[in-house]
Amino acid sequence: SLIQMVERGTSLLKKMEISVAEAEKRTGKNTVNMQETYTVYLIEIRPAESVTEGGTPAAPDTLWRRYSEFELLRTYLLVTYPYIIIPPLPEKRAEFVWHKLSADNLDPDFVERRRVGLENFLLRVASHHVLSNDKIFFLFLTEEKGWREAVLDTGFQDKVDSRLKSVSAMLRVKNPDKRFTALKQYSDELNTVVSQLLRVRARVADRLYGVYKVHGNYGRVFSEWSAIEREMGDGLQSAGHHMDTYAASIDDILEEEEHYADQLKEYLFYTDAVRSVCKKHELMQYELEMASQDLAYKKQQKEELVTGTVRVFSLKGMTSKLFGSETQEQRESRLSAIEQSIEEGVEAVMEKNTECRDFVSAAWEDIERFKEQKDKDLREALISYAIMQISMCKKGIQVWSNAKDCFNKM
Amino acid sequence: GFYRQTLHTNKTSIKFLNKGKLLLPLDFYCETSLCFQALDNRNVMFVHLSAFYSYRSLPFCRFFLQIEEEEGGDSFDIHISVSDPEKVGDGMNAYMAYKVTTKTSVALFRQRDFSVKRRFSDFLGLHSKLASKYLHIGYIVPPAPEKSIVGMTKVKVGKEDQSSNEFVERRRSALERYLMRTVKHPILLKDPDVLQFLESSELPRAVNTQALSSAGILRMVNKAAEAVNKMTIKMNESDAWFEEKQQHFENLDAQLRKLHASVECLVCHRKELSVNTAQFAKSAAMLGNSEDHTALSRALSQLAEVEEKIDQLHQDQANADFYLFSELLGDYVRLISAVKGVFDQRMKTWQKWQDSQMLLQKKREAEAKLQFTNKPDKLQQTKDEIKELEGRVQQGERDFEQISKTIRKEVSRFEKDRVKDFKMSIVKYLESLVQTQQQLIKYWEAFLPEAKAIS
Repeated sequence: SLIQMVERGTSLLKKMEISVAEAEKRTGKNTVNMQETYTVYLIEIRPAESVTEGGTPAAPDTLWRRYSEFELLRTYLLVTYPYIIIPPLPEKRAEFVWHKLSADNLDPDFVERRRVGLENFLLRVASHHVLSNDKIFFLFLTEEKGWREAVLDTGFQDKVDSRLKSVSAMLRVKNPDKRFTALKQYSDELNTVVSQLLRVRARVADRLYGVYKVHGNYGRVFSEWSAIEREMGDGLQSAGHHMDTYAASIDDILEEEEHYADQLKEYLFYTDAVRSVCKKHELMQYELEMASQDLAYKKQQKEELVTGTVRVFSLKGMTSKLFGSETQEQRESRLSAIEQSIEEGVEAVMEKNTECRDFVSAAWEDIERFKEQKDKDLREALISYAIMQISMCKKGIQVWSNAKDCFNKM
Repeated sequence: GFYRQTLHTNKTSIKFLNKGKLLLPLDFYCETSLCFQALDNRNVMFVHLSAFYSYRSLPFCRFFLQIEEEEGGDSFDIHISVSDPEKVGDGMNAYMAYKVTTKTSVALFRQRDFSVKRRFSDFLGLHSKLASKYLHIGYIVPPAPEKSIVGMTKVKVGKEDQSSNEFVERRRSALERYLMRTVKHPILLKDPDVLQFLESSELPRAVNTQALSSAGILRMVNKAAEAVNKMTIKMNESDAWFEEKQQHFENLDAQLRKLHASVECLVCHRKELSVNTAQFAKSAAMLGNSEDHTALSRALSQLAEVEEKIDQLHQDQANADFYLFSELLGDYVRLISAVKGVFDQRMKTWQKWQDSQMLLQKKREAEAKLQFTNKPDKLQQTKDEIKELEGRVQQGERDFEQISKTIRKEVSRFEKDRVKDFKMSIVKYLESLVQTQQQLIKYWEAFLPEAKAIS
């Protein structure tokens, strides 16, 4: 899928090769001025056609980034392109662990898998025809020191929608778009099912590990036993060897399998990104409805003023009733104020309408792209997984056949 | 049999003319079994040699070689199967009846193919009779399967569930193995109780089957071991062979127990793996249902089906682990207890002989004293007692000689069978593992096109 992403050929990827080559531990002071250990990752940028026939590749441009900087970049993209399904980052903390995996963020295996995940993230952004053109993204890859300032300067943090807004929007929108409702349901369902799958998979990995490691016990016993046997001695010794090999092989197998678990996790986090887009749409829809409601109210007020009937309660109306009706001048000034308000309202509604329509079309385009990409990715993953299983079985057959030969020769 | 061959060993060559005894120099050392070829290359003969040497307590040493012809290796033609477990009766008086089918060409039997119905206590009864007849003269009588109150109660009470079916199957398999081991023993096969057990349609109900299980043997062994510990006179080093063999069996026992524990562990892990794989299959199926793209959805459902099949494979493999390997190890751990029992019987026999000798010695001393007194009646009585005791001592020596000879034969027969048994079972077990892997490959290869069809 790496190859596919590069083949998709955004102008950015045509110019440069991006990779996250290494990880390193650093210590420094954090925001509350305490010593902490953290990991930094090396981003390498190479010009696309840097390797010529027989020539040495040009040295890459490099810079170091922390996980928190990736998070900042992603938040920026989320806010700036709310209609795009933003690729997810690898998990912040190790979840769905089975007993062998460490849940420690500084564990070398975890760091290595995170490195791969971060590279994946950068490549996915770089291969998106909209996101790859973003200036801040480009600076993230090229400007080590000045980037943080540049991001904060965009003022994106002001555009972050408050949680309260999103929730009330979800509860009060009157005409939700059916397609988005369906999409939200789909991604919720997917989220539940994939989480469950990952949990079960962790248990399966654990038990499989147990089965293989017991064979290590066999190896030990066979070796000891062979010492006291005459006829079966050699056979048992060799068999013990094979058992040890078999037991040791599980480490590599599960490491490779972890890669597929990571792909499933990416899938899981993507559902969060899809939900984000749906929520943003809900918010827009809600704002449109509020604007329309507001306009309708104003129109009604004007009508009352013109006809003199009071259908809508207003303080001005009440006071005029109590304290005497207003002069013609006062009435006319109020009328023109309301008419202006209505004009503004009409503009606001039109704006919101356009905004909404544009959002929907852009979002839907990205959703279609995402679905296509997801199907391709899953196809690749399932094929590779099946091939891995077959190769695992073949190795097993070799081990057992060799052991069988040892015993047959006795 | 009448052979004119030269036997080549690693020390010396021996010429012998016929089956029988032969005098050899003292430094002759012989392996317990050798295969050798006829001088004229006409036949290859498999001959079982028992070499044993006498005890220094006698005034002369004799070292003899007895050649026995093998019972033809695998032309031993008898096969027993235990099948069709059937519950008879109700409630706590119910029992399981098993069909015991014998197929044989051995002339001892009246028919070639016949079957009878037997219950568990019948098997225990057979074992108790054989044990009482043969254990004390040094024959390794295969132990009967264990009693199990818990397992049997569930069956009696009528619980038709997985665990009680497994229990019945486990017992059926154990009974079959028990009978096969018993009839493979050339002496036990000829025993009238064995013949009656296999042939007669009605068998008198075996009562008092208490001390007959291998737990019972173990108790017997422990009692003998206690007696041995109390012996103050040590047996001399000419029994080095026996000491070596006893140590060998101790070591073997330890190894087999360790292996047995590992296999039980493995069976457990595999069963858990199977359970979790089934859950994985269900989750994958749900994922397939959530996806709307038909090819992807179908591929995911296929994945779920593959995982279900794999779950079944894990279960089958766990059963294979169990029946092919774990039960075999358990059988041998119990068999070795029987072997140890036989060694201890030899100790007891020796002790009995020594006791008679001590008594004889005392009586002779008494006789000598009585020579100087005037008690002719007492003297005569003592002389009679001495005569009786001399007889007993001679018998004791014969018994000890006989049991030692029998044990040597038995041990080498046992070892040969053990190696064959293990080799066969381990090879079968490894084959089952290979087959499982091959089946897994088939499942995944069938799945690949479904995955490739997603577009």
